[in-house]
Amino acid sequence: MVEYSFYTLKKGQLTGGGPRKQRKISIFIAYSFASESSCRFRNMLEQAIKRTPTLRSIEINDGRVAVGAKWTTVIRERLKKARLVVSEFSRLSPEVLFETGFAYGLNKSILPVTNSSESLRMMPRFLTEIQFGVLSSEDSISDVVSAISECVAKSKRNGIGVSLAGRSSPNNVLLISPNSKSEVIEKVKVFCNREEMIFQHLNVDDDFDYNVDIDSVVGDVTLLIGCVDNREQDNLINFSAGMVCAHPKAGIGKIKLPKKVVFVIPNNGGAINMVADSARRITQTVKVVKEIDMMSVLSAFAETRRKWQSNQKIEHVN
Amino acid sequence: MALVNKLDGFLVLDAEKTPSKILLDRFQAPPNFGNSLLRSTLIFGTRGSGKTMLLTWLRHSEKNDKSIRLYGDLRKITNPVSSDTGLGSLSYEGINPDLELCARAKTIACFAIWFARECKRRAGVIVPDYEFRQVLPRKLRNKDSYDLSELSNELYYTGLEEFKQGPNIEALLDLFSEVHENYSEEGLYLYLDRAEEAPYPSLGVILDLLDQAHCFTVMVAARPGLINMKSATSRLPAPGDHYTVLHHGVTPYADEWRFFMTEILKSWLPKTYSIIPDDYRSLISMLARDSIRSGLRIIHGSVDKNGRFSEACFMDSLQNLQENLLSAAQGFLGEYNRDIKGFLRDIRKDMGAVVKFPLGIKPSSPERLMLVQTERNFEELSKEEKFLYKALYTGLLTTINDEQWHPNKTYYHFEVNPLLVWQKGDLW
Repeated sequence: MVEYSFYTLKKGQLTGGGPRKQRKISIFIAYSFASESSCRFRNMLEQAIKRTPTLRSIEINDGRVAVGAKWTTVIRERLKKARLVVSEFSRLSPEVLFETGFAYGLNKSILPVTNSSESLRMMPRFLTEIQFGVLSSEDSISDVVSAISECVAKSKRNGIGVSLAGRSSPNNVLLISPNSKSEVIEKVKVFCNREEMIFQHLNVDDDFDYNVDIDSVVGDVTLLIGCVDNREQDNLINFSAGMVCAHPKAGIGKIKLPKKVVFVIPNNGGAINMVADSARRITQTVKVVKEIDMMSVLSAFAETRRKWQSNQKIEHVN
Repeated sequence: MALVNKLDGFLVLDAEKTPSKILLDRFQAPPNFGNSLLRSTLIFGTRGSGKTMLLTWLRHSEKNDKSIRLYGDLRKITNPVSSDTGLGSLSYEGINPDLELCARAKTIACFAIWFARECKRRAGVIVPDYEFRQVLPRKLRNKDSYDLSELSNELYYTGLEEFKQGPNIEALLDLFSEVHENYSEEGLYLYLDRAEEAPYPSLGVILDLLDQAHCFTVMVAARPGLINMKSATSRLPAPGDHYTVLHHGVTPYADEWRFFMTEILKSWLPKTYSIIPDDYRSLISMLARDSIRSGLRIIHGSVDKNGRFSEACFMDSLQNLQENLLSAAQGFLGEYNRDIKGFLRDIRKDMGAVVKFPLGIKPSSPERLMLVQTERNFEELSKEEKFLYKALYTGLLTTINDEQWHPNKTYYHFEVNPLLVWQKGDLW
């Protein structure tokens, strides 16, 4: 039997002399799970990053969440801690647009990547201001990795201005729809007059050119209503919804007003696929309704807002 | 690494560089191994404990029988996977499950090419074409003819994406079984070294090979440390059940290990060992613990230029070894503790002027455990646990005497490597 002299470790002694905990740098890759090329891009990018000595220790996250986990909480945390969001836009997927909008709302650096310059035309203006990585071949993945290295080293947001999504006014309503949805437009107008809210309409007809300053239009919105109808323009709604969901409460003071995003789909139930699945999971903020049910959701929002206003008054008195 | 002294001349410390004739002449069978080596076995041992020597000896030992015995360095075999994933020894980062699956498939192809090359080189056997092609990725499978060196090169540069559709482990097992049944009359033996250096997606494949159900025998050597990380893509065979687990040098203070160590020292450095005073022999045995390499280095360096034992040379030799081990430990553990020397100094200070060896460490309260080893995800490991795994890997800490390292065990205490803390005047 060997007799040992045992030393009792003090709490934290094993690692006590360690350097201050450095926050691990992470990036978020927004890509379409349904697209094979998009998945391939994600995997290729991860491999290329891991092969780059300076980026090897970077944590790579994406929008996939384990069964049972809360999407909103998990993704919000991942996006919040990400230093950079790489968005794969080769296929204009509602998911990618929503996650990118979410990241934009959180003032994250965004690195958009696409495999064709044609897709660039469909991007909102603020995105096209950033140099897009165009993936013409597998080799160009190294250009994307270089851009990531640069962004990660800088740590500040690239090129684009600061999103106003965190400074919403509780009175602002934005409707994104083509002019053809006249009935919806009229109903929202009346609703805004009745509730003393400021109505703004963004007409996304077929000749819509995306030359829109997304910050000034969406940044301060509390109620966002988007009519999706199976067109490419629906992606703008998803992006805007992401921006709104990034900061789900409006107003100042302790008591804040929960924001609302309403996706309005045609009465026949079509175009539901144009609503990002990720958006649908944020059930507290996002509602997907048919045109005929839209007013009930708006009424419920109005009721919440009235309660919030009276609570605000109480808070002021106190 | 080769050293020279006045009495025994050159000393080659690495088994890989030792000529097979010398190795066969001087090899001593480790205690308590016996018949266990007939079954597939996972062998744990600290750095320098003689794992490579054992595997190399096993490969050479039955040269005249009709078996096929192949030795492979897992760091080299899985190098293409490390290069793709950026993962290596004790990398705590996980990768996404899709990539893990591809990395696993690439490991299988790496194994097949290593196997084919070694069969040809060592046993003059050309592996069966059909089975071999099944273990390659589709891109390389349909070539009319192939050169194994070129194929190895191509595999290195084949991206993980090409492995989405396999190969799977069954194809590799078929290849091994085919060679076992048709080309070796007395069995197929694979001796795989340095498993701790393999990236974790590859580890699943390595452990799968150990399963007792296969007709061939596999020995895998590793340092104590991570071996049972939860895999997203495969279920690992159960250690102790599907294969044997052995800890080489598990009782370094027992008489049988001391005898074994003495015999090795005598056989490698006969003249030098004979002039070492008895007191020092016993001290060296305690300090080297289970590391034969450390024992050889200290003894070899204790001779002065006139071929006599010198205490000053002994202390120099010891200090030199201490510094080497300490800088290796600091390099690996700096992320968790920037002052390993200070950590060891504090232990000494608190233990009083004279320390009695062996010296162990335990947590502040008895109910706290040092390390619980179960199948877990990387994210679940605490900072202390990561420190412990790396400390075991570098040899800063070891399991205590007679406590086997096992992938499913809980540890209440560890031993501090005596080489790193011992000072003149200490007791043992």
